[in-house]
Amino acid sequence: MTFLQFIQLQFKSKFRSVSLGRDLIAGIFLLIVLLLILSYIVLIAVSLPFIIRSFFEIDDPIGFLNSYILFFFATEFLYRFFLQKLPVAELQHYLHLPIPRWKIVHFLLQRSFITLLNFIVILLLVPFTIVEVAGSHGALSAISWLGTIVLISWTVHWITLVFKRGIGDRLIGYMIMLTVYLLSFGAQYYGWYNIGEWVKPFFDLAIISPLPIGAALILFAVSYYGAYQYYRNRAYEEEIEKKGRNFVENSQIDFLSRFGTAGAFADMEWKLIIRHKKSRSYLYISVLFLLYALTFYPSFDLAESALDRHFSLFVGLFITGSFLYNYGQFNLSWNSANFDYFLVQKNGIESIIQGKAILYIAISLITYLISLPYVYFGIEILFIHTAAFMFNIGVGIPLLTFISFWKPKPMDINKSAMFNYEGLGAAQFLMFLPMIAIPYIIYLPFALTMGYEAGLTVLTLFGLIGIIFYRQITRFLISRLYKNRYGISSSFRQEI
Amino acid sequence: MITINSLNKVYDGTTVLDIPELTIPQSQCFGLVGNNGAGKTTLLRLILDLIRASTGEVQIEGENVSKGESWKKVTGAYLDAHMLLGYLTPDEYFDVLRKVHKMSDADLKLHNERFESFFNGEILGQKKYIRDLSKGNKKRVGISAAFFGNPQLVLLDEPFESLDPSSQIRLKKIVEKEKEEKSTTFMISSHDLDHVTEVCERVVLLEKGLIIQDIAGTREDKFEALKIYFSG
Repeated sequence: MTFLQFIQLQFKSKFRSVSLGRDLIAGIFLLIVLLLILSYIVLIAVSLPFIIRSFFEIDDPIGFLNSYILFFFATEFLYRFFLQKLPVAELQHYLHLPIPRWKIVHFLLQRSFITLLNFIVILLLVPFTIVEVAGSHGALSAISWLGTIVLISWTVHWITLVFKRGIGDRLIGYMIMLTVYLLSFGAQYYGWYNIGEWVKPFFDLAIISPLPIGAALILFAVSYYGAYQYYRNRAYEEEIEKKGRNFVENSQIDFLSRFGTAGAFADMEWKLIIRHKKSRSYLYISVLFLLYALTFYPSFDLAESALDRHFSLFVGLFITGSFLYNYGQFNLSWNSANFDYFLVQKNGIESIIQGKAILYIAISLITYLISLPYVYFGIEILFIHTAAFMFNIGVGIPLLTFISFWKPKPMDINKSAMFNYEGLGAAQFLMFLPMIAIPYIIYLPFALTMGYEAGLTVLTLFGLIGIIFYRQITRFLISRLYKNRYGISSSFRQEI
Repeated sequence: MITINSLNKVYDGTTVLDIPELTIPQSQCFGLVGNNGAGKTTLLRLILDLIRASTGEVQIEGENVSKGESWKKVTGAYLDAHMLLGYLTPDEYFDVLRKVHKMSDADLKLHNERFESFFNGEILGQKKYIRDLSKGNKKRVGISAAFFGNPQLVLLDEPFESLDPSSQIRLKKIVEKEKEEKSTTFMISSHDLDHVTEVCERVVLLEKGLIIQDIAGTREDKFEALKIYFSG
């Protein structure tokens, strides 16, 4: 088998993938997002020389970039860590065939190199290189400078592959990445030490000498070889997933058992969450979402600005419902592998809906409590978050459950969550609209005429009404799911 | 054909397989039976170097499987559906295998003719991806894939499971024919005592990773011996 044949197979697997091939809307949406990101990159790239000269008022744009390029690599490492896919899962299809192991590993590594991520740096810097570097130093210098940067960026590719494989999808990995990143930026910002300046001479040298590009080339080759050795030594089936033989930790949540069958289902769902890769990631993301408010609240003046208060409702909804929005959007898809089990179970449908509701309420309560320290930024936040929490519980959960019945898609929850479109359908794209718009439709008329307290009170009332009529609403949802059960279960059975 | 020396596999302190010595001569059909967790699949994976041995070694034609790779040219195997490429149709998959094994179109045609009755017209020319095939049809694709490149050793993990009765009988015929014409060596694990005692002249019984019986003899002898063990 040749590399070309292997790549052809990989293309087929991409285009015939279950998640993309089945849903046109999801495919189109992703294409639009991709084009949008690309056009942003091109826009930034084209205006980069202008931004540096006119906006930052820097006379020496190349030197300026050289002193910040390290942070570009740090950022790159960060997003590569999240987005880059490990090539290991493919191993099991080829190991038993008469293809040498070293060849398979080379194929897989080189295949992993063909990704948009590796072209971002080129896209981003080519206009700048042509205008600034080639303009003042000549073509050869431009090639040497750009080449050095590109090769180092590509070195990061191989380093990420090894780092990510070593760390796995454990929370510690995310934490390390975040700490390193914040520390390096903080250091630059507060001026403790400037790592950017330390490496600047290396890139300055690249303009006048071929030594840096040579060094970068060696770095690139060595890192590739290192990654190869690393993966070659681990090219065994038992290493593909570091899962399986872990001892099952007891993670029973005792208080859930008070809720009877529904409680048992809630407990089961919790086990599902912490024992699968994809759901675990969504749980972590929900936790990270709690920090989302930090981008708004510090700059808000809640006591004075009505606009800030109105906008804080959005933040409050998002924070108290972070788990609901993130995990809940796929609602039934999490159980797609064993949905039929619920169908044949006595009261299975009732229990799955109530069990999920219990879990959503419990976790929303926890996130609400965790979010309370934000009151530091103003006592208004207490009212806003409480109203948002009540609304999410009383109206948000049933609403989300109701929307999620609309053509849910199957998904494999053992896969990683990054760049994984399984389970995404039209419902997931449109879901946020009512989830955010409806509370505002309720809130704004009262808030604008009688003050935000009135708006929040009405919102809370709606939440309370939802809680009071919990039984009736649940009965309605159950009957809806009963009606849709054949469609949903056949959609789930189709694949995976 | 296969020589095993003090092979041992330990997972988290638990020994799942421990075989001091085992030799399988050329053109033998070697049956592997045992209850769940006996170590059948582990043994097959170790022979194929898909997992690492904790200690000891497996040799195929004198070559340590974890050191060299020339044994792959004479070995065919089908253990589970992971070995297939689910996003291809059976025809496309066979074409990939044809290239991997450096066979000509005529070779492939010959191969497909050999399996014509086994496929029963349900595999070739279908516009269906392998991942969408039924369990039994996936198995048929995988088993015939194991015979690509005229291997001298074929390893099959529970080949009779989920095949329909006609296919089971046809598979037995294929195994017998291969053995007779090309003196191919087989290693077949199975829960079906009826089939495995019929097609294999030697049956080894595993229990918790240990070989506890190594039975040869007539079909009735083997069947009786196994029946006594499994009823007890």
